[in-house]
Amino acid sequence: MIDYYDHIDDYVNGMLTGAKLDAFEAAMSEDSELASAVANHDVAMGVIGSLMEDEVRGVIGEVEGEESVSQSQSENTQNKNIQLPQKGRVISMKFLLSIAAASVIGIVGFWGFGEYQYNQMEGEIFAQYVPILKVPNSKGGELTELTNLKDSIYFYYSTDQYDIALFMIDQYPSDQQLSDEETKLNKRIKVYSLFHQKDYQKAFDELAINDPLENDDRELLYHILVLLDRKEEAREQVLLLSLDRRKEIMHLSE
Amino acid sequence: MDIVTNHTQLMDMIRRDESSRRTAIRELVQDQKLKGKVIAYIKNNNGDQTDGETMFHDAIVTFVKTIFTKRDYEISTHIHGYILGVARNLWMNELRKKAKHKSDPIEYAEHTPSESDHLCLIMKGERSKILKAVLNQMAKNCKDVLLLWSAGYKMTEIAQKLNYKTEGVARKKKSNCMKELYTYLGNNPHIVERIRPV
Repeated sequence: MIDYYDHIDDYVNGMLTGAKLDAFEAAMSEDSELASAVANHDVAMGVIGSLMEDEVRGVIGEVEGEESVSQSQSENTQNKNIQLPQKGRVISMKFLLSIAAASVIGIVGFWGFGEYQYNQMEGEIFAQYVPILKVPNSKGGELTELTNLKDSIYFYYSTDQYDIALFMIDQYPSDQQLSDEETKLNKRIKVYSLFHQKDYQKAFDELAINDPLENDDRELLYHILVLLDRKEEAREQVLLLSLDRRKEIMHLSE
Repeated sequence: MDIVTNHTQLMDMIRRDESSRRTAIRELVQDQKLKGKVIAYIKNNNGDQTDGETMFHDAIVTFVKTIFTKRDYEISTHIHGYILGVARNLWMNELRKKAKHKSDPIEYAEHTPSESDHLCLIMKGERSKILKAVLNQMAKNCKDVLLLWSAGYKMTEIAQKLNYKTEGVARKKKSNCMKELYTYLGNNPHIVERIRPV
């Protein structure tokens, strides 16, 4: 049996003729996925064509990162080697006290305004990478939705899944008791629970083994990556969301 | 002998396998003498430090892509001279693009950066980020096989390089990876419309 997918390149480049061409076009008219693959062939080739550039730029990024770390380490070593004169030590003690005071204020500030800082991080990423959309304000609706597990589940899932999701939160059934679809949902619930317990690394690990990742999971993954301070990966995830979905999220935050 | 000064060895490393290629790229990126030459040239030709660094990186990307895809290609000059030449050409193209805007004074004078200009710039930057994100969704072994296939390697060579038992296994792998990519694109039309070549 002919695998027409192997002939897309030939078809697009006009290399098919006669009976082969007729057969390919007939297959395309019957198989919408094949037709979609033909329509997206140029995009697929663009993706493949960027593989080498991606690899080279990845290595360049690694080297630059290492150089910047080594430069900052070298600066730190130089700073440590500076011997302060007596007067300098007095100043240095005042300096240390001021750092200690600032730290106390910082810690209090962190607990008091933790949610605000969280919003700022969100805003920073959206502002930079979704610049045509509005940036959420400091009381972002999106974040309000995520402060409560049940609201969060409701926010991310359609209403028909909401009841079974709530059941799973309450009961935590084992996977053996569930259908495939329910097992998938159960895994997600675990991730959401871990997220709300602020165990972000575990939530990330749990989410990372869910394959394939769907848009709803991607949004949560984005939030987790932001909180784990893995901003580059977070940016990638948010870029993969549909523009409509991103607009929807931003609209909710107004 | 220093890898960068031995261009036959460097080119062989770029073509051999991923690990050797990465070592070769690292050598090039860390070559401060070469970097200095490229930046000095750009600075002497209406560019600044950032332009110089960008051209240095772009020239390395172009060089590696050329050596990898054109397997019969030989270089007779020193690598420094060759990469400096690539950087010079890239920079000349940049300058030509800028000059093109200025060569039509009426159009240039009337041209004020509009919202759509900003949007174009954003979209251009966004496209490469989305491309990268799409690549990150792809399995490593698919990237390996498609990279070699797109560079014109025969299936027998791909099987040999990636340790597949037969040419047929490599062909099947490539076919499956292409299908996965088509399916991914088919399921994500919002991504397709943002990375489709103009």
